[in-house]
Parts: sequence; C-alpha cells; structure tokens
Amino acid sequence: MKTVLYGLFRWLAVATAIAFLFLTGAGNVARNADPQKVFESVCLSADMTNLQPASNQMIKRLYDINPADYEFCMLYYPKTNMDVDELLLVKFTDRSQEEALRNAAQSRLNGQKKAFEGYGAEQMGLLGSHSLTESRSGFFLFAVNPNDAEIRSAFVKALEEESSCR
Amino acid sequence: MPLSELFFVFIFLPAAIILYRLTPDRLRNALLLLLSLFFIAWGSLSDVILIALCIAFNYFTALELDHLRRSDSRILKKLVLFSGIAVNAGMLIFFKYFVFLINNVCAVIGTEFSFTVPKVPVGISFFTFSAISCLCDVAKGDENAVRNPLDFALYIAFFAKITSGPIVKFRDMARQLNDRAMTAELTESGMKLFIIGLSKKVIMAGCLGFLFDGIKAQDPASLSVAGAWTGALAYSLMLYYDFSGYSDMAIGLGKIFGFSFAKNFDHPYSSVSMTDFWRRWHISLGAWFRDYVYIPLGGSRVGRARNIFNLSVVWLLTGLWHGANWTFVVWGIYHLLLLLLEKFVLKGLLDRIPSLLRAAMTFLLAVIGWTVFFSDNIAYAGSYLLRMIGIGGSGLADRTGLFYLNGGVFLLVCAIIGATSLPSAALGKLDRLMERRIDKRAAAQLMQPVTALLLALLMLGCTAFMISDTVSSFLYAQF
Repeated sequence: MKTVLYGLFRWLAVATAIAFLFLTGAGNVARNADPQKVFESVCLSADMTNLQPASNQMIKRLYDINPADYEFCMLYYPKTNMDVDELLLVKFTDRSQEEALRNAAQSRLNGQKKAFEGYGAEQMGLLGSHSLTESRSGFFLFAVNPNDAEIRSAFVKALEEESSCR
Repeated sequence: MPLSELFFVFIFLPAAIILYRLTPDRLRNALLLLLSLFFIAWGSLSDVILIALCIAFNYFTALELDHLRRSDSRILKKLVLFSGIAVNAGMLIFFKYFVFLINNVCAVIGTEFSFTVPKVPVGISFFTFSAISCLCDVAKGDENAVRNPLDFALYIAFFAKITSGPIVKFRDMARQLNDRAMTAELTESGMKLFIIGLSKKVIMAGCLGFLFDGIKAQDPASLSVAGAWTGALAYSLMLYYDFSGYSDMAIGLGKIFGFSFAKNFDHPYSSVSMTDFWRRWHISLGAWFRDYVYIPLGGSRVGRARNIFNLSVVWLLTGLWHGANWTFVVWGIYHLLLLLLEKFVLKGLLDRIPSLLRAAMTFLLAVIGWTVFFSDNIAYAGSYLLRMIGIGGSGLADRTGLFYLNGGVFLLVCAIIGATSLPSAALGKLDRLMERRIDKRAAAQLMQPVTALLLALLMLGCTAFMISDTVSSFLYAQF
C-alpha cells in the first residue's frame, strides 16, 4: 500500500511539473522562422537613415552580450553620437537568454537616458516614448525609432508569416 | 541571488545568521529552508515551483526505495531507482541540452526547427546531481531516506550550495540535517572562509576577468602570441579564483550554519600530473562521477578495454555537464586522452621528471584545455590555439598583445603564486616558527588582531569592488 502511495505521489509531482512547464510556455516552436527575413521585414518599416550596422565587437561594447551565444544577432546603431536610434534583433534559444537580453536592452536604454538627460530634449523624447522591447517565438527585438509602432507591427507580422507557433 | 551580491552579503546573510541564532533548534531547518526558498525566489519565482516539484518527486522516490530495500523487492527497487534517475536526468537534459540536441539532429537531417525551452532553473546541474546521489545512496543502503520532508527539502535547496555547489553527497549531509552544532569557533572559521572566498571571487577573479574580456573581444585572427597567452592565462586563473572562491564561500556558509562540507579545491595548479589535477579541481564533481558512474560501471577492476570505456563515459559526461556545446565535449575528450596517456603509457616515465617541471607541464596542459573550454565554438578554439603557437595572427607580440601583457603581468604573477600551495605553506611555516619562539597561546593572541585586520581590509576591498560593479557573474553558474 505504502509503495503504491509513494509511487502515486511522485508521478503526480512529475505530471504537475510537465503541466507547469507547458503553461509557462515550453515548446514555443517557431518553425522555419528565418531571422534574416524577419530582420528585413522589420527594417522596411523603420527609419534607417541615421543607422549603421554594428560589428560583433561593437555589440559587445554597447550591450555587453556575446553575439556568438545567439543563433542570430543583428544591431544597427547611430552613425553619430548625437543620435539615439537603434535596432537590435536577436534569435535566442532559452528563457535565460531572453532575460539576459531584456536586462542588456534596459541597461543600454538607461545608459542613453543618462547620457542625454538635461540637454538632449529630442533624444530624451525618443528614448522615453519611442523605445520598444518585444519578445516572441524565440526572437527578441529592441528598437529606439520614431516608427516604433510600425516596427512592432512588422515584427509581429513577419513572425506570423514566417512561423507557426505551437 | 549570487553570493557575491551586496544585498546577500550585507542584508540577507546577517539577517539569516541573527534569525538562525534566535530560532529554537527544532525549527532551524525549517527556517533555513524558508530562507533558501526566498533566496531562489529572488531570481525567479518559477524556479521555486520547479525545485519544489523536484523535491517532492525525489522525496517520495527515496521513501519508496527505502521501503522496497527493507522488503527485499530487488527488481522493483531497481525499476524505481532507474525511473528516479531517468526523471532527474531527463529534467537536466530538457533544460540544458534539448536545444543543442535538436539543433544537431536538424543539422544532420538538413532541416530547420527551433524550440524554445523555459529559463534554466538556478543550480539545476547541482541539485539534480544531489537528488540522484540521494536515490543511489538510499537504494544501496548507505543511508536511510529522510522522513521529514522539510529536512529533505533543505538537503536539495540549501542556499549555500544550490547555485554552484559543491555537490554534497547525500550520505555526507543526511546525518548533519538533524545532528549539528553551531559553535562560536565554527561561525568564526566559516566567516573567515566566506571572506577569503569572496575576495578570491570579487577581487582576483574580477580583475582577471577584466583582463580576459579585453582580449576575448579581439578578433582571434589578429591576436599575437603574447596576446593569446595572456588571454589564456587570465582565463585559467580567473576560472580558478572564481570557482574556488565561490566554493569557499559556500563551505564557509555551511560552517556558519553548522554544516561541514568537504573542500572542493586543493591548489589544483600545483598538481604534478593530470590525474593529480583532477583530484584537486572540483573535487565534489569528480567524486560524484566516481561514486555514481565510474564505480557502478566497474571502475578500474576490469580489463583494460572496459576500463578505457568506463573512463570515456565519465569524461564525455564530465565535458557535457559543463554545457551544451561541442567545445565541452572536445575538452572532455582532451582530458580523457591525457589521463589515458598518463595511466597506460607514461606511468613510469613521469616519476623520473623533477616535480617542479611536472607541475609546470600540468599547468600548461590545463591552460591549453581551458582555451577550448572558453571558446564559443571549435573553429574559434582552433584559431586561438594556432595563435598561441604563433601560426597566423600578428606574430610574437603586437601593440595590443603587449598592452595587455604589460598591464596584466603583475596581476598574473600574483595570481599564479596565490593559486599554488606556496602562500599556505609559508603561513604554516610562520605559524610553526612563532610557536617555537613564543608559546602557542601567545602566538594565537598575537595573530588574532593581525588576522582580523587583514580580513577587515579584504572585506573593505570586496565592498569597493562590489559597489563599482566590476564583479563578473559566476562563471560556473552557466554550466
């Protein structure tokens, strides 16, 4: 009798763990989502005039993340120090990477706000009202751009077209 | 919450010690468990739920194994043990290796499929190994199952060891759960060890990490020999100070709360062979693999071919335990080959080489291994190793390499000396000398304020480093 009860309880724990994992989003499958295509779709909706592509070293310097840790990592950053427009798209594989990316984007945003606080009204406006952090289907997007709403829609649409979730 | 965070050091730990002192003996485990759950929840609430479910599963499995062992149901016992190990290993594989496996299978069959796994629970590599240790020990009869679920939960989730070990075997901790003392001497020596560990982690590993990060950010194709070696040495020493520092902190915390955990590092860079190195580096992991994988497979009391197979299994798993990347597999194979070479080919020859030269050779071989270990992929490792022997790159020394070498040479020399057994040997000699000149009690009285001052200075230095936020995140946490 004891053995049956112990067995019942332990498999109940396993079943609960599986249900918990399922409910918290495990298996968020993004099939055949080509990150390059997602990035191109996002770029089409963004104002890219003030932006330039960043090297891996620059990504490390600005965001303190290692692009080699991610399946795909692309950053466009301002051509001059007086601009704050930015576009970062990363394809990640697990939730800890997602958390690291969120922290990296937040500290980049805070750093920029600190740099322009008190004198860069226009830049502060962009950083305050036109920054975007979005994560879905294994993709993380961070953008500071006047077209932030369009960028978000393009990102969501690109993922819906490129992938089928769950 | 890392053990080297200001909040932990100045708020959580003092509060935990005061509460522990004020709590009656019978409620102390419950308090430690509550503190541990808070510690885990600080990072992520979902981790608490997953760890609680893991605890529940293993608690009932251990009770069932205990019951079956007493009733002599051998086949059923084996089945329950196997299912228990499979669930723990399955959990580890799902969180740590599933994406790696899927990606490799997809690469082989030429298709694309991406799968997102939830955030890896904190300390999964450590607490699943603790759980497996418990099941094996109970099944074998080395230890009885713990009846009190709170005590069992504390064994798995104790905040001192859950994030980064050491991997304490069940048989080494089970009795301490209900039979331990908290003496002033233990608390004092625990605090000392904690501060020493903290300074190893925060000051030494922090500075070495700063040096290494600068070199790692360079394109490996343009590195010079000087730059590549500076980077490799900085990483090797940083890893040692980082992990041994963290282990010292965990062992010190254990002492503060009355637990006695065996040491996890014993001056590995003073080793005279790779076999010796692995007796001194991450001792708890090596002991775990020895007791729960190597010996059950037959250990060395089998034929040569079977022994090589057993060692291969252990080293493949040791490599993979550190992470889901081919670089870790290669690193494991590299150490397997070195150990096989020592065991079967160079056995007599090594003894004839002077020990200083053997120690230098062992250190060099370990550094080469760490180069593969820190690389993002095999191509990077290959390119970096070629730069170390001067093939390609910017020759023997370029401006960047010399900049890092000049800036880091003093730190590297200090770190190498500190990593060997020389400082503790010198301190031991000083102790003996003082005891000979003046009596033991007077020597201890003389040393007390000196030690207190040194520890206070170390703590001050650590605080400054923690505030300036130069602390790198714990390296082994990612494994």
